[in-house]
Amino acid sequence: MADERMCESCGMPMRSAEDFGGGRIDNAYCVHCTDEAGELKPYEVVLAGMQHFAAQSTGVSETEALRMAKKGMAKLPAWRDYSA
Amino acid sequence: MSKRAQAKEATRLRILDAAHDAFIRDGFLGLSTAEVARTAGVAHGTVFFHFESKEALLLTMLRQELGEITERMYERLHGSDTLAELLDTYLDELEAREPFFAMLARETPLYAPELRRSAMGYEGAVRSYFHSALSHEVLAGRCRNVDVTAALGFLFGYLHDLLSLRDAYAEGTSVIAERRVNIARTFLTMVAT
Repeated sequence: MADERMCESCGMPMRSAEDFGGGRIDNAYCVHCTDEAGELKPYEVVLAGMQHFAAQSTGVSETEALRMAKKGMAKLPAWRDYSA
Repeated sequence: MSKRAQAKEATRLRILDAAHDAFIRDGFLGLSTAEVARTAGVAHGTVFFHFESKEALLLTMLRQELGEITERMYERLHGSDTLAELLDTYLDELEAREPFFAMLARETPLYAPELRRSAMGYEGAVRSYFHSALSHEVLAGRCRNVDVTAALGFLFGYLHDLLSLRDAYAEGTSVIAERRVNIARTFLTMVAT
């Protein structure tokens, strides 16, 4: 666990090269939060992905999933100071 | 790591250990940070130097417990194991941490919305491994074409019921150990082709 990296945009643990954006293990963001070049996607795109993930994995309503996604992202370095 | 940083980390871990025991005994709602400080042998203010709030203390414990579980599940999933083996791994981990997750299952519905969202969000990470494994089995034709989210709702709802009422279902023993064969058989039969 000590060497495990966490995506600074969504919090996903990144354990192997395929988990990192662009396949680069020096990338602070995961493959889901970045485009093909490994660049961080816009806030709204990441938020929509997080909302979908929360709704799908927990079964909560879309509205509650959006609240969960916003709360989760607000604590992470990429979005801590972001204001929509 | 410098000696000072080592001492700081040792204090942080002592607080977490004390908080873990207090949580299992009193839950988050009854947990006293003053008592955690006394048990850990630190000043009350030291708890808040390491953790900004009582909520942060709980979420750190939760992240630690679930982090270890998802690591085991990640290893399983990437070893191309079956849904049955993934479930077996999860039940092993749950059984080993049963008092913690039993208290969490009892209390989560009572938490303030913000804390409840965080707790459910962390659990969502575990569920996502099942979501991925079951979706894969459905696509491969090894499981019937179920609504994956709903099927997992049944599994996790069943587990929450057993955990939150564990004393009634299995007094003085592990409810997961006692019911695991039944849990696995019921869920796997439900999704089987």
